[in-house]
Amino acid sequence: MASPPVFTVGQTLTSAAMNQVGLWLVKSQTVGAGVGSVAITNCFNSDFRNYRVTFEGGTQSGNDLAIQLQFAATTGHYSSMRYDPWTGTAGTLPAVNQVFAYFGLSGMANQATFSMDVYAPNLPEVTKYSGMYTSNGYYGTGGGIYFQTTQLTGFTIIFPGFTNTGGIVKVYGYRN
Amino acid sequence: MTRPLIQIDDEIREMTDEEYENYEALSVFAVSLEQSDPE
Repeated sequence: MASPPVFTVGQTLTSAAMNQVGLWLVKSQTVGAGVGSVAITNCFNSDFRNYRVTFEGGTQSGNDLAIQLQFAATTGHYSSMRYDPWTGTAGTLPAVNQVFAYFGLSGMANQATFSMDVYAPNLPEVTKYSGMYTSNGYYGTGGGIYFQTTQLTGFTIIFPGFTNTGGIVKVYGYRN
Repeated sequence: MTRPLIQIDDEIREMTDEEYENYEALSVFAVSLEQSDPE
């Protein structure tokens, strides 16, 4: 079979072909208006070891305000986020053993996006994540660990001190 | 601070007092990197 497989209309999809699908949409969540946080539940399970999470299409009530992630409402989040501006000074924003991680910055004109890989969230081991983002005035990268072995099933995006309207969060599983 | 809404999957509603307390605790760590436009 050619790789990647090219399907034709009406062709039977074999298990061999379907088992080559590398990324599977697990959950798609539209975000509402005026929210200070959005929890994405039941998106990590035993089907996949690792996941890709994306967020885009939202507008926030302020520019370049730090977004937070929360894998669980406990301490154990260790993170660092680098921010590179179009003009100005670059820097990093760490969080050490907090109940949140910094990841991403806001935009009032639909500039904010992020994409991250989450490793082993539903396994009894430390959860890791890393990714990149855009905002009103910055591009950046970030990553960290949730230093607990809790088997996670979801996560929360928090807009601390501001609100988000719209956008879509998508969670994809990487085939094991 | 005006109390924002909370969203859990498709459910969007007002925050309970406890949820707002947790949100405010996280807002203590709010960071702004907004730069003023060059003149």
